[in-house]
Formats: sequence, C-alpha cells, structure tokens
Amino acid sequence: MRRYIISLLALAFGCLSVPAWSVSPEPFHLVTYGDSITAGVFRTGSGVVTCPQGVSREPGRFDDEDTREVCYGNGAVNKGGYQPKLFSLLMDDGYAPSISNYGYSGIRSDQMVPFVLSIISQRPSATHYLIMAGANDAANDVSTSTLIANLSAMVSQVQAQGLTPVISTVTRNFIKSAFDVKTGQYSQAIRSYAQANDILLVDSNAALGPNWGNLHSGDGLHLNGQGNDILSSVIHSSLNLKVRNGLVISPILHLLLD
Amino acid sequence: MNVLRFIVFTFCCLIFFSSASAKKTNCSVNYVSAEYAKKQSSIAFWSYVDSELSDKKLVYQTEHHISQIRSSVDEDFRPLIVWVERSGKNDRILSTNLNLTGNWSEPLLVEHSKSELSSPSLIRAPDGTSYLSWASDEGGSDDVYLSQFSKGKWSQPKTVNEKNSVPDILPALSIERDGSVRLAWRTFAKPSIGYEDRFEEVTQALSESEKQQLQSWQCKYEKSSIIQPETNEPLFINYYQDAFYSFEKTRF
Repeated sequence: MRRYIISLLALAFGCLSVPAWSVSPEPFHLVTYGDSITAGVFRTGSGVVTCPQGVSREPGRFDDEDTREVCYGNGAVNKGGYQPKLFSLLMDDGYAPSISNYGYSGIRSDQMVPFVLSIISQRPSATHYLIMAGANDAANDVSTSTLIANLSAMVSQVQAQGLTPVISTVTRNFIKSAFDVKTGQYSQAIRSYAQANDILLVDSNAALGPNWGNLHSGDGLHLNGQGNDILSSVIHSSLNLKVRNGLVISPILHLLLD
Repeated sequence: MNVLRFIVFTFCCLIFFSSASAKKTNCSVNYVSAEYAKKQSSIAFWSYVDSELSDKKLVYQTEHHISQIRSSVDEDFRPLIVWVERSGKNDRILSTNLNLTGNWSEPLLVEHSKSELSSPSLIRAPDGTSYLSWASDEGGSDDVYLSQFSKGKWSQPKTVNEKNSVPDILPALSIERDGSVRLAWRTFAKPSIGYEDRFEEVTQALSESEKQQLQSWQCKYEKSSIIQPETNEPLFINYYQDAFYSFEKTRF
C-alpha cells in the first residue's frame, strides 16, 4: 500500500512539474513611455546624437525652439537604451517579454498626458506601463506640483483601464546646476506620490545618481551603456514579477499554490 | 589775443565735457549667467558691443540658490535682470538694473512665495514698460501672474488666468507684428486632451507712425559673428532677432 501511494505521488509530481523547455513562457508586455531617456538617445558632449537600432531618427517636434534630429521610439518592440537588457532579464525569469518603446525626445509631462489612451489602444496586450517623465520639465522650469499633477493624470488613465502603472524618479542632469536641483526636487515628490498612492516605483535617481558622472553619455543628461544596464536592472527589480525560470511550474500546481 | 585764447579754450572745454557726459547708446548683445560656488550663487553679466566682449561684471551674489535668470533692458535702455531665488522652501523673484552711476541697483522684490515660482518670461514693450510673467503654485496648482516695471518700480502682481484648480503653466510674453505685447500659456483641460493654449493681449497694437518710429531702433546681428563668453553655466542671451522689431540698444 505504501509503495502504491509513493508511486502515485511520484506520478503526480511528474505530471505537475515539467522541464522549462516543454512549457511556453508566460507573455509579459510592458509599455515604456517617456522622453529621450526612454527612447534611448545617446548624445555626446559635443552634441552628436545616436539613436539605438530600431528607434527612429526624426526632426524634433516637442520643443518649438529645437528642431534638430532626435530619437522617437514610436512603439518599437524590445529596442532602445535599457529595453534590450531588460528584455534579457525578463527572458531569464522565464517570461516571453515584449517591451514597447514610446520614448519621444524633448517631450514634457504636460505633452505626454493626451497620448496615454492612444498608446493603450495600440498595445492591447500590455499589462504594465512604465511612465518616466521630468527631464524636459526641469529644462523648462515646470513646477514640481505640475509634474506630479501630470503624472497623476497619466497614472489614473492607466488604472482606469485595469492596467498597472509604474512610475520613475528623474535621472540627474549635469547640463545646468539648476536643472540638477530640479530633478532632485521632482524625485523627492515622485517618491512621496508613489508611496501615498501605492504605485510601483523605479527609483532611477537614487540608483544612478551617486555615480552619475560615469553613467551619462557625455552631455550630462542621457545614459551611456553602463547607465542603461543599471537602469534596466532597477526597472527589472521594481516590476516585482514572480521568477519563473528553472523548473517551470505547471498551471495546475500554480493554482494550488496561489 | 588773451581774450581770444580764453574763448577758444572755453569752447573746447564745453565740447569735451558735453561729449564725455552724453551716455552712449549702442547696439549690444547682453549675456547673463548664473555662477555657482560652494555656498554661493552669483549673477555675471557681459555686453558685446562693436565686436568687443566686455569683461565679466558681477551683478549680484547670495548664499541662496539662483535660477531662471532673464534679461532685458528698461525704458532707458539700461540692462534689467530678473531671477528666481530659493531659500529653504521660500521662493522670491528679484530684479536689478544698471543705474545712471553705472552700478547695479539693490535687488527689488517682485514676488515672494512659500511655494514654487517658476517659468519667468520678461519682455520690453515698445513704450519702454517691461512686463514679467511667471507661474506660482501658491494656490495648490500653478497660476499665471503678470507684473510691469516702469520708473524703477514693479506693479502689484495680478493673476492672469481664471480661478481654477488645474495647472496654468509656461507663460511666454512676445511682441506681435502689430507691436502689441501678447501673453501665451497652457492650461489643463482634461486627460484625453491634455493642455490647451491660452492667449491674452497685454498692450494695444501700435499705430503706423509708432511702428515707423520703432524701426529706427533696430539692431541687426549675425549669429555667427557673436562671441560667447566663457562660463561654466549656460547663458541667457538677450537679443531679439525674430520679433517685429529687434533691438538691443543699451546704455552703459
């Protein structure tokens, strides 16, 4: 009888647990929405702009005074500055990730607000929305309260669709001291807002700030390769997803365990 | 003979002193920059006249943080500088201008707030009055304010937008082709639309004769010929190239 029970249990375990290669990874679709840092712009100290592979290079349209060629994500999948590395990290976790790049160089938070619903309709399978704004607000002297109001408007739109918003603090800016002070003020307010409203937070300012001198592309604002790697790791940990690598748990056991 | 020499000498002295006391009004590009050192912020000023860049002049110094510097000229064509100064959680908008003695005046208070003052926009109207607009979130969300500078004084700030609970942001003053001063800003409409643009006429259009009088003030610049002074912070460059009339006649 004992042998019979043990055999039954072994058979059940064998059915309920299967090797990773035989089960399709769970899809995970993330939209990344923001400015040139989201787009993945690399700009040197002398102003030469390089766009990541797969990200469009177009004349700027969000700053009336600056129409130089810049980078627009336009929804490119798994392309950008930090997006490729984040894709790998999520793959390692056992997911089938799809990361849409809606980064637009020069865009401020007030300009971002009206496009949220349009992006949601373009990506119906996306469940998480990472909103990263503030760099251009700092350069345009936008107040902290207005930035938070704009973030709140975007977060509300995402939540109203039953989706998960994720917000980020603002990375540092060495172009001008006043801008850098502003990013610090913004980041403090964003942390408070995220905590008060129980919103997932990517604290990119804290993660990159102390070593910012070595992590920007040369212009004091955009990220270099190392900076993007760190940012992808911070985002990855902030998403707080279940790790699904190694022995993939079948749906039935997942149900029993949850 | 002695009388004749005396007359000639007196005449020469009169010519010399009258030319020395007359203030030169030249076309100038004015540069203003913030400079930061440990526990100190300062404002630096340069002028660029007849292809010569002046030495750096220290305008103002403080232990507080200075930002958002704007520059123009007052009704007498003397440089006028405005900035935001933060001390703790208090913001102030201050101004100074170059007076008759060639010194920068003691800072004048335009506005103070326990909230954030942001996005100042400064312009000189054709009649010489200077207008300053900014945003303040004293009321919980940003509102747009306007004040004018004339005869050495700023007027009491007045709210421009209607009373509301949404952000009114990024005020921008400009001179229209008819010579009037216009204020534009953005106001939050609703999430699906975002912000809408708003405009207000601050001054009236000019008559044809007034426009013709203005054209005699024009200064023309070629950007490529301008030399920028060295500074560790970006500059605010004060010249108007695309406005109805471009001028920067400055008195020093």
